[in-house]
Amino acid sequence: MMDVEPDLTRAMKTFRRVPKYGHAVGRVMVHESTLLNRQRMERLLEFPFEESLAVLMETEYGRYLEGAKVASDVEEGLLEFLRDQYGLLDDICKGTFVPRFMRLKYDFHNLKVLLKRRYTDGAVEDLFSGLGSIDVHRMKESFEASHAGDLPPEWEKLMLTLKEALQPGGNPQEVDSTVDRLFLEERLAVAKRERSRFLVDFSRACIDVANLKIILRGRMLEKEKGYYDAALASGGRLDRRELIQLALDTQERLTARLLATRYGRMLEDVLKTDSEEAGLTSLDRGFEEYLLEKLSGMKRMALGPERIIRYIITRENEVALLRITLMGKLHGLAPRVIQERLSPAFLKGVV
Amino acid sequence: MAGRLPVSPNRMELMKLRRRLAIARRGHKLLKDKFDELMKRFQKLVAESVALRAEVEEMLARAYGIFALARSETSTPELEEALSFPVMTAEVDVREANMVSVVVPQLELEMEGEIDSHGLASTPALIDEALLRFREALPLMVSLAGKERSVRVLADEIERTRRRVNALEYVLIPQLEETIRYMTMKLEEFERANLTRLMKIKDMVS
Repeated sequence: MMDVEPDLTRAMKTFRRVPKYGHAVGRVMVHESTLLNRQRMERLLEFPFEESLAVLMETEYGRYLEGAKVASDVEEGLLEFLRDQYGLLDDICKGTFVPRFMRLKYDFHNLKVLLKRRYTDGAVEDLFSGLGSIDVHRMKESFEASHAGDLPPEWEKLMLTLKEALQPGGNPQEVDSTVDRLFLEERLAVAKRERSRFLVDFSRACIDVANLKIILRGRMLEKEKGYYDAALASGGRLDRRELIQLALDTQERLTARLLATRYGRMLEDVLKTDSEEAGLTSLDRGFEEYLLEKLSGMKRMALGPERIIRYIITRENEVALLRITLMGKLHGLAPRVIQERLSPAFLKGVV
Repeated sequence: MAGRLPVSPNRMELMKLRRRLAIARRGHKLLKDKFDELMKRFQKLVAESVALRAEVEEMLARAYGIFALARSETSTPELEEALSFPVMTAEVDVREANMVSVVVPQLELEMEGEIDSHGLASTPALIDEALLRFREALPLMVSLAGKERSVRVLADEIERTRRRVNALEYVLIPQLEETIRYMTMKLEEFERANLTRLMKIKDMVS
């Protein structure tokens, strides 16, 4: 094995994955053909709410959004659709890390809700997401008992980190920042464990994007160093310490430095605009577009888990785009305003 | 047409009525001055309120527009989780101020803590903008509430003062003047009758 060329090793690794993911990738390829295309998205944008729903009746979303009249109907329909997509994922990827990798986001969301319960007397049950891989009651019991118990083994360390990081009586924002950071770091750790170059690359890009979002938004909200220390995740391609320094530096130096990074092209509109609102719109859109471009690289991985993960993330993005479009229409926003919010990468059919 | 007051015509009553008339005229002048001043303040306050309301409505429309966009970019549980635990507290201190002898409320807003209590990595960036705009609008909303309440209190006082001015101007003062005129005529008539009687007695005696 030591004498084998690196490219050949990679090729052999791909073949080893065939029995594990071959069936799943095949199923996913069928579902990929049902993703919304650019023409359909443009038709959705053009028409009023009722007619947009009629356009969606011809798609997989039809039965989920049938008869939707208000925002909560749309929200419920799209959530139900996502639930079914995750059901499909569980079905085709049984016994692999993929469902857990994808549901990690929702587990950490539930963790945030659980930790934030102490700030309110009201019921928070409605805030839990049903898409997590860990049962909320199990999570609750483990946190009350202060040991991971039935939870995955890595949660023992996570609980310890949280206990150290979160002081009683602190700001609820600390919970969000710390849990978001731990989520990004945990996802990278899972990707590294699975030795997937694309997933590691994607998870790193997500960390960079999140860190950049934090420093750019943090500057607008006049955050101090302590906040960045707690919120910025490590493991990205941009150096964490340098980012903290930049967050506290002058606007000129920050702009010059960030424009010189691999994210410079994406941040150009954000850093050069005078309007905060336009800057924030560009920020979210630019990051989405960057991550979608990263995902498009996974399409080349014909037989690995990457293609399945790419499909689920693309579906999640599609759901987000539909939510923006339909909610925007329900809130009476002009098609031009809605279109500004949509990722041009998606509309161009990059995905 | 103003009627007469039911009083018996004698010098004592006449003196009393003249005193009452002088007081009524003085009261009328004072109330008229108060009315004019109230109207001046009222008009100024109404103009301020209208301008402020337009400004607040514009700010809120913009903030809600941005919030609607941010809202559509994330799911309800995620958004609620991010915004359900605010750390900023706002207290309104209600005091009383005197405006032309009218007690009007004076509202002062005290805000503590930061407006953002959500994670910046997992929420849409537009939420920050929407929250900042809501925070900017809040002091103006409180100020508008104080001004609009003052306008209402002043309007009530203006209405009361107007009724008093009108009552003095068109009822009491004309009544007193009419009664005084009648009483003066009566007393002069008594005077003339008395004089005639005295002259007749003098003729008889001489």
